[in-house]
Amino acid sequence: MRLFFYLFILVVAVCYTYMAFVDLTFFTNRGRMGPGFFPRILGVAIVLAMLLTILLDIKKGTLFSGAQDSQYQDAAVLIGLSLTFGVLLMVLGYIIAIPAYIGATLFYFNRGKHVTNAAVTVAVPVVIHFLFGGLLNASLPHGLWW
Amino acid sequence: MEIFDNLLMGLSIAITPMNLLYLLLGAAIGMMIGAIPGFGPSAGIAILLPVTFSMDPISAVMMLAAIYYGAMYGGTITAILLNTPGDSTTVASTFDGFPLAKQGRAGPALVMQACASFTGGTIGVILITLLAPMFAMVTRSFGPPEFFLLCLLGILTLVALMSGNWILGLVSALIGFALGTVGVDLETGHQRFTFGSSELIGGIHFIPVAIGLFGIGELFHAFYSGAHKSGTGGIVQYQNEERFWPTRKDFRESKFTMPRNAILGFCIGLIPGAGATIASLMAYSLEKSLSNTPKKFGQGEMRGLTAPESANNAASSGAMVPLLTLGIPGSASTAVLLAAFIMWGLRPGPLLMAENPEFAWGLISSMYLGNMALLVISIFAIPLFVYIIKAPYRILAPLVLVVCVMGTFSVNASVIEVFIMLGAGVIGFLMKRFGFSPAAVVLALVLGPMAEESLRQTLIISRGSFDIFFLRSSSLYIMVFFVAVILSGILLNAYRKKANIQGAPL
Repeated sequence: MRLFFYLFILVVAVCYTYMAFVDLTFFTNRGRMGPGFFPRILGVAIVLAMLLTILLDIKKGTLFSGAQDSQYQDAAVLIGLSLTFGVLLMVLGYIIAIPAYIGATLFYFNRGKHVTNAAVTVAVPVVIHFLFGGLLNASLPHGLWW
Repeated sequence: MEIFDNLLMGLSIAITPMNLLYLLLGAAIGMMIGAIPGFGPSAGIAILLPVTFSMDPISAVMMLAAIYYGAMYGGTITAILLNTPGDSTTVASTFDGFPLAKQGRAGPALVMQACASFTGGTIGVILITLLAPMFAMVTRSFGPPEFFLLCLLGILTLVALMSGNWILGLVSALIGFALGTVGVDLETGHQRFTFGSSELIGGIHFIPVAIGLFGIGELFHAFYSGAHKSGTGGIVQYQNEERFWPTRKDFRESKFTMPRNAILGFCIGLIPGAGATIASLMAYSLEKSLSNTPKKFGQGEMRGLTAPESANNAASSGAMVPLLTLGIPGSASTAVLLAAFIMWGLRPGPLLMAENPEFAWGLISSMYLGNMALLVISIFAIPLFVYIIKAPYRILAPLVLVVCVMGTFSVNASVIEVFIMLGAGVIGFLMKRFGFSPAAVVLALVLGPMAEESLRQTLIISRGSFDIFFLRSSSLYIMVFFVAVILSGILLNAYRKKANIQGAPL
């Protein structure tokens, strides 16, 4: 997992640096700092620092540690549910997305406590509606079809 | 005398019914957040930042500051009753706090930690009152070269003081700077890394990134580390104890412990990046070395609890001095506070006290009131916080996530920002897991655009020459200070290694 994360940062940094060199100029026509001045320096520095990190981890033998880590399962489920919640919020709006998300999360992580789960699933959208919609007068996501 | 007049003016601003209500609310919320293991003040402020948008700026900043120092009080409750520090700043409080609770002295321990926190917090605010105007006077002559150096100083000291791998800290800071370059370049009007998206023209907003990295990332990491599985069966049932209040002996023993460690904590807090964790651990060591009975430490010694508590609260006040007078946040929490200031059009720095005295002195005065309120809340609302501690993490987690999502959406009614926040949450979790520093990302995201603008102005003034940094005396002083901070970072890291303790999760 560590290796994948390092590679992810490295690839993004390489793309960032490429764009900084191709699309953005280092100096303006008047010889001042151009839009690419900072990005080029930053991009090169991130790429070099990540390469150094990977080399040091290979040397220490820690680069492949944690790859079979079973602890990721619960965190991965919560991440999956949370990203699905984001999509549901955009499509169906908060009235459906919040109870669906809380219900599903509690169903998975708080098994067997049906009364508590049902009470929380119903109460939270109501509190959110009154707190954000009523008290704070904030905008709430209504979805595409409402 | 001028300080006294300013303080009175600040009190007149802070003492309005609405401001007091928000102050109390912030203090209570801060305590609750501090009491939840894993959630620190930075997560609390970031999550609740959007909720303050409809408020008056002074009320909002008073409330957020109260959450900041309120969390310092709350973290100790779990340290004493559950042997689980609410945040890294209260690790030292478990050393003697939990043994005291096991001896049937949880009530006196809880009251004494509240008194120590109050003493530390109040001495810290008194020192802010005295020192902040002097700092502001000194830094008033600063120009773009000095601001550029200060921005670099804020980031690099944080990286230098990181307890883990400093290269990963540097990568984190560079990522934050890189995120800060997204959007329109203000001088040339050129779009940078926007991919044609109109939502990115204004740059990546700080709030979704901060909420994601601190709030959501913390949640995912708690599930990874199994916090949602553990119950609270080990909590000490203090209600059955014979005596709730401390004895005179407890107060007598700690009468010098609290003020001397408050001064120590404040001085540590002034160093950007050092923070309350280092302060509390150093205070514990200092108190143990001064004691005639050092063997009692670790077995339920009251001074072993009051020393770190006093120091960590004073350190959180100390960290406000560079924030208010230089505009340089020294920690994740003060970075989020800085973002809040900027959001309301206030730029903390040398001119803040001259240009916005109502705001600066209103905030400082509110901290006196906040500490008094917290003393009362932390003694009389203990049963409420114990009830919160008992709430299982697996139920709290989805609720916190929903509040984060709705709070982020409410800022600009943008679903893109919700996904940026969730993405930052996943990245924040992985960063924490593999030793990167989410705090450095956030600090650099705030300071990056400032640094770029300052460097541009500097090079225009100097006609492209970097010699200007060596020709101005104030720039030279900052560079000398920078070297001193780096050296102190090396010494602090050596101290940490010698004491075999984990550093603050910066």
